[in-house]
Amino acid sequence: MDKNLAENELRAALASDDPAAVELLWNCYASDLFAFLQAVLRSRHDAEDVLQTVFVRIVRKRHRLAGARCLDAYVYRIARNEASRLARCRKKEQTVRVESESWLMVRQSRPEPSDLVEQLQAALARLPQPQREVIVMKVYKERTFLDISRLLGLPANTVASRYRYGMEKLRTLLGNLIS
Amino acid sequence: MNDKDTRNKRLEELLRKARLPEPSPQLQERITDAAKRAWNQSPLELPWLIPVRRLVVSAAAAVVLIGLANIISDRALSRWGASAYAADQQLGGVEPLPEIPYNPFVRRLVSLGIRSSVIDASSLSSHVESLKRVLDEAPQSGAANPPNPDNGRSGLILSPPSANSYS
Repeated sequence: MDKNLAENELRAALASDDPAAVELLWNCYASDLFAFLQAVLRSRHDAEDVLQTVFVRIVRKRHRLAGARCLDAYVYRIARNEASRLARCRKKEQTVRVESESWLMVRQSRPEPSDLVEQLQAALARLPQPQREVIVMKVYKERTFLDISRLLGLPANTVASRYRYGMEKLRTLLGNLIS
Repeated sequence: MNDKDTRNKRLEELLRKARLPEPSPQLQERITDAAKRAWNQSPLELPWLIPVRRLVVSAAAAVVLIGLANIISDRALSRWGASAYAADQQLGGVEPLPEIPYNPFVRRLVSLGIRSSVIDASSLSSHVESLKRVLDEAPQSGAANPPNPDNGRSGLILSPPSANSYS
């Protein structure tokens, strides 16, 4: 379905207070948000919990969402805030992250050794969060820099430089695999 | 395409050998159920209610602030109330001023000034006459009680040189 058409349908459902908007919200944003949250939090379980919180929060603020100029940017802003809140709580509680938890998977179409996936995940995990989220959105969700800048509320040049620095670091970290 | 772009492409291809997991159907069910529950629990919030609510809260905050400021102001001025009343009694009907002059001469001048609210030729001339009278009295009353030069001598005035002095 065309993105604009889906957003218009979602806006109409939100404005008329139709609970079917929840399904539309899921179809529009769940996949992208889940990927984004995994990139930010480096944990699938945390991403699942935060995704639920994000959806509940969106539903509670549904009338503001209906009037928002950019629906997707608004949704990403909520997701980012919730992820930051969880990260702060974790920091305060001094919770140790389970580094072995996998949030990258092997492609079914082109099976690769799981060792490779682990190396990629470890390299991505070592990037600073702002660089990691840009790279994940660009590489795995095939977003353009303009799209990412609009969604994250950043200048396009900042997004491009984060991508460039992140890729340089990854090149250093994965040097043996690139050749 | 330059060398950097080629290297980035190659790195992207390497990264794409892995993928990010999609949300599972169980997760979808869990989250949509939670969201629908929240939908039913949260009341319908009309968009125009938001600015109205903000306005009401702002007005209430303003009333509280002004009330507090009044209370603080009253409390701060209460200690001046008694002295202002006493000054008013002394002046005999003269309205208390923010700064009551204590000199009897100035007090008379002030009382004259306050009484002259009517502006016509006769009252103005009589007011000027009375002012003149008061001002004429002022040097006389000053001369009646001249300051005692002996008592008020400054310690800094040197005594005349005597024979015992070195000079």
